[in-house]
Amino acid sequence: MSLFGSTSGFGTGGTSMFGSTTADNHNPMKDIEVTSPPDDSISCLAFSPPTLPGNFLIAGSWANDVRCWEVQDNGQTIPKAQQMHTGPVLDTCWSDDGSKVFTASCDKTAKMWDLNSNQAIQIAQHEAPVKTIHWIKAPNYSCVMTGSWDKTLKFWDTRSPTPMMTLQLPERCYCADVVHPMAAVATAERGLIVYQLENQPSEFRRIESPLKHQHRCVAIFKDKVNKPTGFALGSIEGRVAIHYINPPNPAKDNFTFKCHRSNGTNTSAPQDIYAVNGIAFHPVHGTLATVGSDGRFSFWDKDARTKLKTSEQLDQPISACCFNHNGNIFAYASSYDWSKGHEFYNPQKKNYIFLRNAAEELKPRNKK
Amino acid sequence: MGVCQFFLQGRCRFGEKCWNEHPRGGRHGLPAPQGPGPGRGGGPCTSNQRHTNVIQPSTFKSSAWGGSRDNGREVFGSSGFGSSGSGSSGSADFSQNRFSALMNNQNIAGGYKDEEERLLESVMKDLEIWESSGQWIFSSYSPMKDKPNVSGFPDFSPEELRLEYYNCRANNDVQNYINSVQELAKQWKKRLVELKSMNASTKAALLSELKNTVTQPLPAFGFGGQQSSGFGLSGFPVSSSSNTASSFSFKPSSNLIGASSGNTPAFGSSSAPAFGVTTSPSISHSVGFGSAAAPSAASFSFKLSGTTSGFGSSGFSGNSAAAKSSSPAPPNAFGAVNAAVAASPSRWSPAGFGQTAGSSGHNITSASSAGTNSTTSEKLYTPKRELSAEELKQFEAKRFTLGMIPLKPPPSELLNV
Repeated sequence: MSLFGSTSGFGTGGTSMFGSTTADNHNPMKDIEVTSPPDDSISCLAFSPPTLPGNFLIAGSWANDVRCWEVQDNGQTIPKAQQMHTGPVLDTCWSDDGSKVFTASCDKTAKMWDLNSNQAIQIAQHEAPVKTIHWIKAPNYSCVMTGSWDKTLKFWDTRSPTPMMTLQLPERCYCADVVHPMAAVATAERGLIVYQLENQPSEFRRIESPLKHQHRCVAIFKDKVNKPTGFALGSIEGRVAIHYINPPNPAKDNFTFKCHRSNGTNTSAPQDIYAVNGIAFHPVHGTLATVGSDGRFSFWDKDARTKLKTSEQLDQPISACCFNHNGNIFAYASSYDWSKGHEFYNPQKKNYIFLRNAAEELKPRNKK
Repeated sequence: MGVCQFFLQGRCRFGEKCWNEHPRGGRHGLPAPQGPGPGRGGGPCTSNQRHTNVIQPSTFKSSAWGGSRDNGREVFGSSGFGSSGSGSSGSADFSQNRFSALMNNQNIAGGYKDEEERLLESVMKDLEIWESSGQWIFSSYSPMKDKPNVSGFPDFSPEELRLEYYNCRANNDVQNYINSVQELAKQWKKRLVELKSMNASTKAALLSELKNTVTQPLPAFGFGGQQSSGFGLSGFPVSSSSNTASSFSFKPSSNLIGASSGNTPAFGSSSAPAFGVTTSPSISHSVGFGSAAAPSAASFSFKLSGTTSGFGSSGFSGNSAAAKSSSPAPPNAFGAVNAAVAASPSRWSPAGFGQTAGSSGHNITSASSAGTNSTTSEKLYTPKRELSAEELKQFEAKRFTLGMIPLKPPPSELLNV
């Protein structure tokens, strides 16, 4: 399969290796399409944790729904269930035992969906849309962390209507990630805060943003002994920063790299710059995947500081991505992310979720 | 003959008799040089002097400052990244050169300017790329790590806009959304053009923003962090619209900054945003008023007196006008600040004005003093007849009453040594 960046424009055909001359480029990578995808843009994807046998995929969308599919080993996807909010769903996550799914929505609430009974109850309330939701499982407590545009981070025991704890953010929460005992939250106006979650959540450090523009997505990575040690931060300006929390040599260990640009590293010609919509780390290899508004996904090895692969260009931006618990499946959603405003929004356009075998492609490059 | 390294550190024992160069504008005011007699004339001390020649004078120059910064910036632009390291070495150089900067040393002035120029250059370049690349325009921006956000670029995420569209669509009012977005885009474009043209006032405003301490983001965030009212400080226009917390409504008012002047909550520190008309850096400084370092307070007061940027639509500069025209004392402490500024900006430091700093409710309500204080008095004493009754009373009293301390010097008649 030819890999590296064809310079075809958005929506025109890529290298026609499949013989088709139609302009349909919705799946140039010929990955598995998930059946019954949502009717509006997909905002978030999450795979079930290892405690659940098999693979179940959850997707939240701007059609106010959250859908669940079972993904079988032969690649077949079976729609299982669906729940609704009264506003678009912005984020979703699983509990550690795989029995509950948490969803965060523009209707300022978060819900807990019990998959066994297929009932969903509200567990959180904010003053503004809830942008992020994560399940925290600490040795001495468990809770749900919600980040909202009301500039607060709230922690909820699912049985109580009042939060266990509320932390103020300097600005609206734009993205967050949790890998116990660390949580990273990126806010508007280039805010960046790291929390430590042992005993109880508390602010660990405010970090000056390594990026010049709006923060868009963040993902925590772990070191070789499986301890969270840093995070990758993506911005709207086609750039990802890799930041270690306590590096031996910050000047050398922290770095940024450009991605999701039209001209690669050729800096002389003006390039088109696209937002990085999602970052996900492979749970086994530690390599990372980024998806962008340009309709491509890329795999990177942050230790070798190289790119492993870039996909062909899809005809829509890729709005979300995630890996399953053992890293065999990479899921990415092809749907409009509003990066070009309302003029380019076509409610009739079909949205897709693709599944790709990720076992081989994300193996780290051996450092010479 | 090299530059005397001991002189640079303020501890040259030979003073004027030193065989090495003591650059003009260097550390004059520092420890008096010891008697040169005993030390001189012998072999041992000569060799001491010679020893210092080994250190090159170039470490003193701008390259020390600029070099590391430059590295940080350059590397940032490509795929590498060296900011943290350069940040720390930058500050080390800064402490060494502190005094010479104040005394306007030629070398230092030159180095400083280079950094400014570099900053401006990087801002220009970034703006050009931003304009041509098709990237998301409603984004905050800062030219470099460590620098605060450049004002005039509020953050709006695509999701926020999209939600706004969906809400408008549900109300059959998509045109409202379209107008709001167009308005925002116009403002972005306007700010972009303004920065790109970089005329004198834009340049000055930008540079003072960017130079306003490396730690600026911290206080601003910290403050927002502790305010349980969730009153956002940075990103000014954003705070105005996000305070209508329930719905992210576009207020397509052209004066986004003025829009938030309606949010004057209770006094003291939280009212800071109401008059931070310039930029968020100055807001955070005013917040840390009692505890902030003197330089930041100074910049704060200077900004007040010099609000020529035309943003003064909030009640604040209205106050300064009131203070000067001897109308009844403005009902907030910041009127006091203005009066003080009018009196003698150079005295304005938390230490010097010890009684005023820290007590946020302090009013120099001696309105008459405000009124008559339009010119800085150069006299040592004030004739009794020029004092108001209140001021006279204050001078005659055993102690000053907080809130009524006269700004004019006392009459000589009342002084008894």
